Amino acid sequence: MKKYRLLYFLVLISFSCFVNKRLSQEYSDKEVIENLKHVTSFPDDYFFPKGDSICEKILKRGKSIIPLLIAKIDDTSNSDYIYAGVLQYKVGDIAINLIDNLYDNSELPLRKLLVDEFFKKNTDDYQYIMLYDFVFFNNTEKENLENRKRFKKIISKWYNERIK
Amino acid sequence: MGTTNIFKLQIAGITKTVSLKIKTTNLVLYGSGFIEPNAGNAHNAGDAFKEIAEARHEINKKKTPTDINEVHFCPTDFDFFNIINNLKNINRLDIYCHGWLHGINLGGFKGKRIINSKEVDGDKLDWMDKGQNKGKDLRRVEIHENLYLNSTETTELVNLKSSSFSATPNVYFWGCNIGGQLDSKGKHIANNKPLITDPKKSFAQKFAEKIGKGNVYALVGKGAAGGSMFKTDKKGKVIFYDGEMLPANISKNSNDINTIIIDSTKYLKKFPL
Repeated sequence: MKKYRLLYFLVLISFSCFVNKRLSQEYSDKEVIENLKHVTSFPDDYFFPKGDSICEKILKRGKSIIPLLIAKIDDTSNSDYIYAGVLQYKVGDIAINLIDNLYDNSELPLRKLLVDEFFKKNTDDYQYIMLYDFVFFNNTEKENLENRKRFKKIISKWYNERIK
Repeated sequence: MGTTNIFKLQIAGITKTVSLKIKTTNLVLYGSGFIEPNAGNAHNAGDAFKEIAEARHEINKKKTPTDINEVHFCPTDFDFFNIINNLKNINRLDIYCHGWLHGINLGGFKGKRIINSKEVDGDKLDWMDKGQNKGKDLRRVEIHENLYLNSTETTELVNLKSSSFSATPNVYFWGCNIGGQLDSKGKHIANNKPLITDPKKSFAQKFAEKIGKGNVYALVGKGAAGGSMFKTDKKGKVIFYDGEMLPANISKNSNDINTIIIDSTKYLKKFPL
């Protein structure tokens, strides 16, 4: 009987440790995601191969953090990232860029997903970065937000089909 | 167009003066559209560097039909030096590729290509390998190699033959940030983030110093991110026929629409400073 009690006790402790670890991991993932708005440098081939310290922390989590990034795609609060000194990125743009960074271009067809959803015309003669801005920046605020919500659904669907 | 060289020939005690006209060369080089073959979507220019390079080549052929006009795909540092160093009297050189303050990134390649007499399979190469003469080194030409890579080399420009250029060449770097950036007040600096103030520390400056004659031009725009963009028509479609690109902040000021009407030459900085 004493033996079983000890075993029960050990199992209980292990389970409690497992749950605590999961909770703390989840908490810290969320905490990291909350800092998306402070990103100022994405990973590049030059000065910031891993991006700034926030990007580095997020990308270190690997693909497990993608659902949290997807959840932020339609977040239109301003970030600290200003493209070319003129275009202030939204938190959703930071999330999309980091999702893109977590995959090779052969894995995540981001351009194709964007084009299939938003463009009826042939877009071969358009740069991705311009198409992106046409959809998420160059409209009324309401339209930009609606487009972000639509794209969130598209990325979410693509991701869920992949992990099945 | 051409350069006239005067020689004195002495044959059997008779001296003759002979003038020899050497044709000038207008060279256009372009790198791959991707930063490296597996990189994400954001900075992938697709075939745009190729298309704009071909447009520039057409302009060169029309303007100087009797010159030697060449256009080459140039995805590696080996190609870059091999092509330039094997030409003579280069009077105009246009380079369309990715870049940053300390160098140009030619992107690398997919499929097979002969590099230094050996066949290299770009699909099997690790283009992010930071070893000396490995993937990352192969696709870039840089002036501080030992800072970025596990390399003992500093500037790769030691491999450039200035004798390949005419007496007054004009070199144009159209890619991002190769001649530095502008700060928020419009002052020409090297880099906003990390802050490096002296634009003389740029690749364009070091290239100009290395060839030691003529002028080097590079597109310079505002902001920590961004760089150069292709011009567009009224619908936002990229067009290449004038062979020019624009700083991203200038393109963004027009929402990337109908930027073909903007004259790029205002945004070119001349080197050496």
